[in-house]
This record gives sequence, C-alpha cells and structure tokens, in this order.
Amino acid sequence: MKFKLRGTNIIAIELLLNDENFNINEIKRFIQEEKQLLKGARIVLSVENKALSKDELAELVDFVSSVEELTFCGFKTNLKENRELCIALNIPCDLSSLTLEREADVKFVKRTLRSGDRVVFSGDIVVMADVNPGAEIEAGGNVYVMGNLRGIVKAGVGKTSGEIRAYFFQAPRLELCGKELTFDRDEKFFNFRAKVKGDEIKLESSKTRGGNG
Amino acid sequence: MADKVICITSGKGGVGKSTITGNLATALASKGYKVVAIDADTGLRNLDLVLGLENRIVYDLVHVVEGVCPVEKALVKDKRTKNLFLLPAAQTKDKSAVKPEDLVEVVEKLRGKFDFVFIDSPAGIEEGFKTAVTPADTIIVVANPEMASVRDADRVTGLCEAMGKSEPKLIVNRLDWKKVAKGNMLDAEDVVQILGLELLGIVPEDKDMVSYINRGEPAVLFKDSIAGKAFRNIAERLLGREVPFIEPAKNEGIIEKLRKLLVGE
Repeated sequence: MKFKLRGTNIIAIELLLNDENFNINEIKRFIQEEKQLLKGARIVLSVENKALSKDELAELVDFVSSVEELTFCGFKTNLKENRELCIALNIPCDLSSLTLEREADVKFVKRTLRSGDRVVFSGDIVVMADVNPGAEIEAGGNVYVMGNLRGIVKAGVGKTSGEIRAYFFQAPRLELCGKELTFDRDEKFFNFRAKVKGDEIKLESSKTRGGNG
Repeated sequence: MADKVICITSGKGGVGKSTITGNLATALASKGYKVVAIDADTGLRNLDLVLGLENRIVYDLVHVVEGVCPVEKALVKDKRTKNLFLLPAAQTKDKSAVKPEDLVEVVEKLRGKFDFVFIDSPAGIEEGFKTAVTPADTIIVVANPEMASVRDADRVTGLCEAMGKSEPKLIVNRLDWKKVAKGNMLDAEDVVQILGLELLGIVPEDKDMVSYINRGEPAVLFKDSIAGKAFRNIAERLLGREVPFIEPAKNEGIIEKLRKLLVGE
C-alpha cells in the first residue's frame, strides 16, 4: 500500500488518501514508520473520493491525535458527506476545492506585457499597465487591465462565471469561461467589460461594438 | 558621453535599420565626432552599401573575431566623411561565427578610440540579435507605422528588458502623413502609445531614399532631403540637444489643403 505526503511544514503536511489506498491499519503503520521524519509537523488528512464512516473517521482522529510527534490539524476532502460528518463531530474539515480557491487569489503585474510575454495564474490577474498585441494572459479567475488591452486574454478557465475588464480594449479575440468572442480590426471599446452570465458573454462599454456610439 | 555604444534593432526586417545606422553615423561624423559603424548582420551585410563602401572591404568582423587581423586593420575609412569608419560584416559566414562575447571584446577595443560606436543589428530575435544587443549602452528600436513592425518592435523591447538593458528608444521610420490623414497608416503617436517608449525621432517617407541607397550616398549629406533632415535631428538628440519633431509640412492631404484655403491660414 502506497501513501503520499504533500506540502510543507509552513502550512501543513497532507497525507493523501483515496478509495484505492484507504486501509486504516496500513495508514497507522505508515504513520508509525514515518513519524520520525514527520516529527513536529502539522498534519492534514486529505481524503479524496472515499466516503468515511463515522467509526473510520473517529478511529483515524484518535490515532493521529495520539501520535506525539504530530499535530493533527484536521481533514481535507472533496466529498460533502465527509465534511458534514466532520462538522457533526466538531473536527476541522475543508473542502479541497474551497482550499484551491483560497490559494488562488490575485496576481499583480506591474509592467507592460509585451509581444511574446505570457502570464498564467490560477486566480485573478490585475495588470497595472498595458497588454500589447501578441501578449497572452491566462487566468483561472477574472482579468483586470488598468490600461490598454490589445493582447489575447483567456479568463475564467474552468469556471462558469467571470469577467474581463479593461480601460481600453482593442483585441482580435477573447475567451471567457470557455466561450470565445472575436472582434473586427477597428473595433475599440473604452471602459470595457465582458461578463459571462448563463450561456453568453455580455459586453459593456462606453462605446458600442461598432464604435459609433 | 555614457551612451557611446548604440545598437539599432527592430525585430522585423526591412524597416530601415541599416539606413538609419548609416545615416546617424554619417551625421555624427560630419559634426566632427569620431564614429565607427559595426555591421553585425553576418551573412547579409548591407551597411557597406548604404555608406557606399562596398568596394573597399578587405577584412571583416569575422576576420577580427578569428584573429586573422587586428580590428584597426579591418576598419574601412569613409572618404567623403572624415572620422567615419565601417567595420563590415562577413558575407560568406553565418550568425554563429560571432558570439556575444566576441562582439563585446571588439567593442571594448573600439570604445576608447571612438566617440560613438554604432551596431547595426540583424533582423530576428535569435543569436544574431542577441550578439548585436549585448555590448550596447543604448538600444534604438526602429518601427514602421504598421502593426507587424510595431508588434515585432514590442517583442524586441521585451527581450531587451529581459536581458537587463535599459529601456530602448524609438525611431518611427517611413511615416507618410498623407496615408495617416486618410486613415491608412498608424500615426507616430499610435506607435508610441502601444510601445510606451521614448520617441527619439520620426523619419518621414522619402521617395528619394531608394536612389540615395543605390548610389551609396547617405541622405543626411543632402540638405534638401526631408529624411536627411530627420536623421540630422535625431543625431542632435543623441547629443542631448532638444530639437522639435518634424511636422507634416507642405505634404498635407488635399482635404487639409482645402481647409487651409477656406480658412485662409
């Protein structure tokens, strides 16, 4: 049975468990074997795709809490059932997707992104300069450009809602939440905002799409 | 003068790097400064043609790098313009023949002996470009007022910044005010707005340039050449003097002419 550890001791070490490797006796043995290595560590049990029974949960908590070398910090899971069980037993538990969102917050880019530059980030990206033609941005969250946006932006990757804002927009295309929008060469927008609501991208700007208003 | 070694680059080919290098070098030399222009475009040399020195080349940059001759021996002295020298590129080799450290070494030898060292960079962003840019104190990016050139200039600017160079200066070359007025060409202002660089000069489109280059006579030597005037102004700015930018003079579009006729300006 193989178990994996992940993370640093600054936050916590995660012991990765799933429905394939879940076996309480094996887990106990692994922790006993590794406890010297993990001495002083804060530990989080990360349980993916495996619904725990009340007894399993209690047994794990009792065991890990009893190991003197470790500080048990709680659970992390992608299943709601596990989280509800933990809450009922007053054990700290985070949904792993929630943790991801918290990790990914905002990235500030303070220089002009020039042709050939590429910035990728899982959260929001704020550019405090221009995004020139030929530059690319890919964000898991929203993208805000405090200048001219002439490059390619992909925002809200893997999400169902998100927005792109720019003081000035003149780009050939953009992608928001997996939906693509193309623009003609002479289309320009001031105070540009693209937002996904439901199934379509909504545009707002001081000038209309054709640039006559 | 801190900015002795000036590299002229653009990313895109055919925007006028060699022409600008040749003319700026000539302009400064005719003012009495001792100037050398290095053609770093190994394999595709052209600067010799712009300066009309093609029949006087014996040794070239690759000979110097390979130790065949000392750098002084490879310099070609211009007959018309005193104080102007050319270090030509090899035509029979390729870019790998000169490494960045080789050019740095050559430039260091010339630095003490000249007031200005110009380096004419090859097009592209590969090793030839890196070699040309590495020894430079100042980089001048040349862009034509069209999107392909602006985008390439932007890319080159980003690469220069990544190499730890100070922010390049910009020359907008071949600006045609008639086309700008008709909306068929970007204005210099648009180019500056996109690139966000300090504007060193605007060189207007000049139909006589082709014949100047074909004759091997830098336009800057001719008083009546509009491009030549622009080059002289840029040379002044390189010396730290403030010179106003050339305005669209009598070459306005017909609408502008009519407007002036009606308004009576």
